[in-house]
Amino acid sequence: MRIGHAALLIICTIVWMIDRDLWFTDAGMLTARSAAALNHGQQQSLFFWFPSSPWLVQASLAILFVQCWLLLLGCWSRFQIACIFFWLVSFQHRNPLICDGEDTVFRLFSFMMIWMPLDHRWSLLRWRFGWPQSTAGFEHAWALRLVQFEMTAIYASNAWSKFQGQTWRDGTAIYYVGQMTDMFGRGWLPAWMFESEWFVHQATWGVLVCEMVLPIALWLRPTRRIAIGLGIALHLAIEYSMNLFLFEWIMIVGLMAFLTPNSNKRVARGAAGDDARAP
Amino acid sequence: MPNTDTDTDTKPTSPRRVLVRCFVAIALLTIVIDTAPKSAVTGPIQEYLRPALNVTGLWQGEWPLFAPNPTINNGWLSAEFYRVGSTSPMLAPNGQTLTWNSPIWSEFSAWDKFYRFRHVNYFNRVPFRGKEPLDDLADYIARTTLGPEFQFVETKPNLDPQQEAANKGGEAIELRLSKSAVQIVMPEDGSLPTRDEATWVYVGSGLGMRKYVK
Repeated sequence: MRIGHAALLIICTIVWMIDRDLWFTDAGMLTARSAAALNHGQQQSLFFWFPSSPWLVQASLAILFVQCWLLLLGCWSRFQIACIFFWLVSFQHRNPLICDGEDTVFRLFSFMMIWMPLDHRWSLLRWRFGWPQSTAGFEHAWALRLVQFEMTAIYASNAWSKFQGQTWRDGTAIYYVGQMTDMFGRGWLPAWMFESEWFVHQATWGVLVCEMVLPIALWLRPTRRIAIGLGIALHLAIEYSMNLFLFEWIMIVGLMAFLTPNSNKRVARGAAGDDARAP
Repeated sequence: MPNTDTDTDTKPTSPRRVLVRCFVAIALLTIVIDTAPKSAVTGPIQEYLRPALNVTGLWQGEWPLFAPNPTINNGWLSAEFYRVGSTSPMLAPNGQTLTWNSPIWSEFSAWDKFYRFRHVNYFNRVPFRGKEPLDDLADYIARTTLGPEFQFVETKPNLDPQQEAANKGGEAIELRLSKSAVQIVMPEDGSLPTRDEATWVYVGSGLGMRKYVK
C-alpha cells in the first residue's frame, strides 16, 4: 500500500508542478484570500500563513516530491507520510477548486498511514543497513482497519447518494455519463453500448448493485476476495472509459488494504485474547 | 521500525491500549458521521464537527460521485472585452473579436485530459463557488489577455472608470465573463436517443463583469 500510494502521489505532484504558479500563487487563477474565504477561513494552509509566492510554492512542491520518493523507497516512511499529509492539506486548501474525491482519499490515507509500520517490508534503509524486521504492534493493525473502514464508508455513501437519484433507479444514469464530453470517452467503446437500452440499464444497475454490495462483502471472509476482484474490475472499467486522473488507482490501492493476511492475524490474535471487540 | 510493545503494553487495560482504542473509536465515529447523509439527526452533529475537521484537514463529507444524478457539464467559459461606453466588443489585431475561452474538452485527447485534469476540475467548479473566485479568474484573464498594466477598478458611484482612465492617459476596458454549455434534450417518451439522433441545445449565461483601466 505504501509503494502504490507513494507512486500515485509522485504523479499527482508532477502534475501540480507543471502549473504550480497558475494554481497556487497569487499571480494565478485563485488568490489566497479567495481560497481562504471559500471555507469561511476555517481551513488552514502554509500558503495562508505566508504569502504564496512562486519560490515558496516551488520549494514546497520540491520537498513534497522528494518526500514522496523517500516514502516510495521506504526511508523513514512514517516521518515522510506525516510531512506529506501536511503538504497535501496545505496545497488542497490553497486551491480547493482543482481538487476532487481522489485528493480527499490521498489526504485521508496519508493521515491513516502515519500510524502504520510503513518500513516493515520493502524498505531501502532496512535492506541497506540490515536492520532487523520489526514486529508490528496491535495499534498498527487498527490503523489498517481505519483504511478499510474509510473504503467502506466511501462505497456506502456513494451507493446511498446514487440510490437517491432517479436516473440510477430507472437504469439510465450510465447513458448520461456517456454524454459527458469532458470526462467520458477515454478508451474506445462500441457505439451500440449506448444505443441499447438493455445494456444501459444493466450497466447502470450493475454499478449500483456493486457499490451496495461492496461495503458488506469486503468485510465477510468468504466473499472478501471476490469483492476485492469485483471492486478492482469496477475501477478498471471506469478507468478505461473515463478521464478521472488517479481516482480509480487510489481506490484500487485502498482495496489492497483488505489483502493483508498478517494484519488480519494480528487482530484475530487480539480478538482471541484481550481484544474481544476488535472487528 | 523497532518493536515498542512491552509486557505492560500487551495488557488489555494498559494506558497505551486504552488510548489506541479511544483514538480508533473517535476516528471511526467521525468517519461515519462525516460521510452520513445529511438529516435532522446528523446535520447538527456534522456542523458541530466541521470546524475541527476543517482545521485538521480530516474533512471529507458525503461521496456523491455522479450522484444523485450524473450532471452533464459539457461547458466552457468565455470572456469578451468592451471599451467602457461601447456596445461593440473589442477587436484583436487580426480583426477578429478579442475573446478568451477556456478549453473545450471534447476537442482534447485522453493524454491532454490526463495531465490537464486540474484544469477540467477548475473550470467545471469556478462558476458555482461564489463571486471571489470568478473575480480572480477575470483578473487573471485581464492580465494575460490585455496586459499586466491593466488594473481592476472598483465600480463606485462617484468613480467613473472612463474618467479614471482618461486622467491616467489610458483606456478603460470592461470584461464580461460568461458560461456556455451544450445540453442534451431528452425525448418526452423517455427513450434514450443515440448520439447522432440526440437534440443538443446551446445554453449560455452571464457570470459577471469587471472593469480595468490602464
